[in-house]
Amino acid sequence: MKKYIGIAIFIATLSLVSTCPAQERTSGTNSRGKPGFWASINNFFLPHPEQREILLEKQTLYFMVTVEKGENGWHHLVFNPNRGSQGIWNPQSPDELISNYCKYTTLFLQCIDQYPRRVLFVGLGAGIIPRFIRKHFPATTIDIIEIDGEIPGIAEQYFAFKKDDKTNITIGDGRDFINRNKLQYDIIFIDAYNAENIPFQLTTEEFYRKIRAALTPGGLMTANIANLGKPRFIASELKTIQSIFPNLAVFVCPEQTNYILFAPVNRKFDSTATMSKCADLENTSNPELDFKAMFNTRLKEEELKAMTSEAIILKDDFAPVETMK
Amino acid sequence: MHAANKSILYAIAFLIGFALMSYEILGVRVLSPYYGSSIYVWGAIISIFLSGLALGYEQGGKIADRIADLNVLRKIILIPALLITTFPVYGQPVCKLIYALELDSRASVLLLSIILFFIPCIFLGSVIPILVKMRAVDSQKIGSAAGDVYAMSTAGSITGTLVTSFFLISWLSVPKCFLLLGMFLIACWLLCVLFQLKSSKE
Repeated sequence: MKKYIGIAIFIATLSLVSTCPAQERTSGTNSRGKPGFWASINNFFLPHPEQREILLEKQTLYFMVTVEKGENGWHHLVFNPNRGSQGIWNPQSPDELISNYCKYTTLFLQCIDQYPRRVLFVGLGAGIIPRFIRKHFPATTIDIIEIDGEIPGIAEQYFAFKKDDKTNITIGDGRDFINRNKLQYDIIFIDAYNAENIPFQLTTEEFYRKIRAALTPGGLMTANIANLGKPRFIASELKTIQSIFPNLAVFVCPEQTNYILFAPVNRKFDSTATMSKCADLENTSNPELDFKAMFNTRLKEEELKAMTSEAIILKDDFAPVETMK
Repeated sequence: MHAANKSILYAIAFLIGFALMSYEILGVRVLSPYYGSSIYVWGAIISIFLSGLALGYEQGGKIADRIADLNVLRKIILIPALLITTFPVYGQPVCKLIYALELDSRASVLLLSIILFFIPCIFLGSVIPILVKMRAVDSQKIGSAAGDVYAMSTAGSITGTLVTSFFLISWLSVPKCFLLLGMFLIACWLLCVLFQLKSSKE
């Protein structure tokens, strides 16, 4: 009898110990302003803020992927139940960029001096940005590394992503791909989230050093960091990237949902010199892109410094991204 | 056999289980900067750990049939203790060497797991049947002896998994985690030595 009581106490202690950090981890708000653990249980019983039709529900090797159709007809790509959208697309206006992080990512246009010959995407998601690149740069070779072999098909079927003969998709881990890479890219886009985190091996100093080595001298790295209520992680990630790319420029999406990073290799992200460059783009093809407003959200050097002053540099040996808050 | 010896056997079973799973999680952390965290990295590591354990159980059983005492236990534990403590010294060079061969990712990660993890797992696994034999000599109840030893070692594994993934990795760098783990095993070794001394005095 004593033994069973002992076992019960052991299991109870373990589960207590193990749920404490897990609860803290899921609390806080993410990009959709999503509530924490208990609130999401409450939400289960409350009506969803928007009625969405489920177009696809599929268990892949890595995610529970759903494609949802909102009341306004927009398609949402969602990894794992109740997580934020990984991509939003409007079938009525296929070239429109809807998510703020996509809009902000187009600021890369301000930072390139020449026609990009070859670009790399670490993480495909709904394929919204690759689509944007193909539309504006038909001659560019697009390489994509995506961990989940089912995602390209889903992006093609539900988000009008088109794979052509200048688009190469590799299925595998981004770190392994970069480790083995021998090509030089003009732009590398990094948006490699699983449901909750960036996998730690894609956050470290060593990783960004390899990214830098894979860029042409005039090249540019851009990354999306979602604000999932983990300021310590964001500060550390910014500090880590800045240690490799001293010219890092950081833009903050409205309501601080995402931090969009631009890291040119050998020059500054100079907004005044490049402002005029894409005025035509702004006016003709993508009226929803308000470059001026986006420019104004750039973190000032002092702000970035203050933010990262107490942060650590993430290394392969020590990158506790799952537990940093 | 004394009551103290019973608890020492359980303590060793617990620590071995702890070390094993902690080692496995740290192993993934070591390989991820090379191969990423694809499902096959986990698959390779888990399968190699289980293969090592299987061979260890088999060989440990044979040893236990011949001799099962603190002396043999001590010798067996010392090998993974040393291999894990010194992992930070040889781990990265071996990873770099195998990765540089540019094999197919899956083959490469399997090969590397065999080189790095297989041998310590054999020794960790072979401890278990010896513990069972030592426990069973006393009570003549082989079933419950085996059950108790496995339960304790699995409890250790559960603790090792949770402590490592939830806490250790966020507190310490990976090389330090290996050192700590090695210390655990050296503590096991010391336990054997101390109780050997104690029982020889009696």
